[in-house]
Amino acid sequence: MQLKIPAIGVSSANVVHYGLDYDFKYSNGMPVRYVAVPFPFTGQPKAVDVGYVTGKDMLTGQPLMTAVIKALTDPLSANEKISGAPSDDAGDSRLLPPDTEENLRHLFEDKGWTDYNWIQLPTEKLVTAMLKGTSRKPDEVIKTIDITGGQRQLTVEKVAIAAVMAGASPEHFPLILALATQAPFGNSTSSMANMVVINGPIAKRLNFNSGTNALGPYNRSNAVVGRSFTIASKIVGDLRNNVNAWESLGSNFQSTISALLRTKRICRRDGIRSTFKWASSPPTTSSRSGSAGRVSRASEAARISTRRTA
Amino acid sequence: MDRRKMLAMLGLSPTLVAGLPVRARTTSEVSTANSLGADDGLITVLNPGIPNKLATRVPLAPPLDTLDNKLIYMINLSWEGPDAGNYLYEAMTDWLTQRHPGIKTVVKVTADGMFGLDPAILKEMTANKADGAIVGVAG
Repeated sequence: MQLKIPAIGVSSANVVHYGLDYDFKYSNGMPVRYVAVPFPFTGQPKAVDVGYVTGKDMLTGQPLMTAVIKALTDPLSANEKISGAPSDDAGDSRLLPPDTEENLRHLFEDKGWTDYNWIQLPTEKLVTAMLKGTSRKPDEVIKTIDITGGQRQLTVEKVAIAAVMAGASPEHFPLILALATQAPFGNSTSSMANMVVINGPIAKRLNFNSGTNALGPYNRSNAVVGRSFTIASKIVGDLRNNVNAWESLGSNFQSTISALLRTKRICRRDGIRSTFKWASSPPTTSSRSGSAGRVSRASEAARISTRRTA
Repeated sequence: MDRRKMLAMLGLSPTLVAGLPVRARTTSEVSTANSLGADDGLITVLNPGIPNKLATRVPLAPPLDTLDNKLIYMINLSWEGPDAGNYLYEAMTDWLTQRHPGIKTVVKVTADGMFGLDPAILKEMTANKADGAIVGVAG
């Protein structure tokens, strides 16, 4: 239903920036007029929320109510009258132009494709080797991400690129590919992270740590699989600070520290509730025979359950 | 004898003899370039980025000429609860009614919070011939 009446948005400044830019370009398509209040808006005393009315619009610096009236009454600009399909669309080049290592590293960081730690640059040779860890075709689309708009198609090859960048090996790839179906990690004004529980023979084969220091940086599989999810989340979610990622503080749980959710037996012994153990990176658990009782008779493919929470 | 070994024994770089420009590369550059398959210092890598599809453009509705005697709906998305939005809209209503004769405001809280359209509100706005709307407040 379209009412065809002027409607303006009022939100805190970080959300308004997203609405004016990313949301408009890739999701909404309508150049909504906004006025902005300071962030955070919710959770403030009543007097603060009321005070915003006599305060300033964070976008223009004008008095807020002046901005509201102008937004409802100013004549439309040429840009605000445009309708129809966009004339240009972002293309996708499979390879980046050749450049020096230094320049490429700067580019990757500028684009927000990394976690700002050292990465392995994804040459064709390395990505091809990574793809040997799966029987799926590189151009197979495993997911279309449209959380913040854009309808981005995640292919097997893109996941392999993220895995290479994170320093993973081909034997990790089946697991990383399964995790990628749950990317990106959540994104809101509060901070979010994902917890992953891995069970089955693959946990043992990849030698995940399910014992002491499970949440610390002491095991390669824990580290690189978790980091792959982090990097994949940033890439597939196109998550960039103050563009479409606006968590008030952010969370180091999204970072790449290896993590592990302990098995039930260890949890009971140490008094830790297994279902509420958060970690920096998708935690993994190994149901090793002898330590946790029964060993799952899972197939070679990892069985993964994920739970997303704030 | 291998020609390269011979040249090395003589203290000559094979690249010098070959006429290539000679620049001493650091050990790091050499090992990295070699490991990445580059022999000219330039590396080709795959593009991690995934392109966004641009949204179809939708134009704005014509603006109002004045707020006097207009019916304005204030839609509360109930971001983390309706209170904050209600406080703001109440204050906005006070401000507007003091300055714009005849203006009327109606505050409605959406049934599905910030994630869903509320057809009932849209229906009501249509039935009441609403002139404009303010939607918020997120954050």
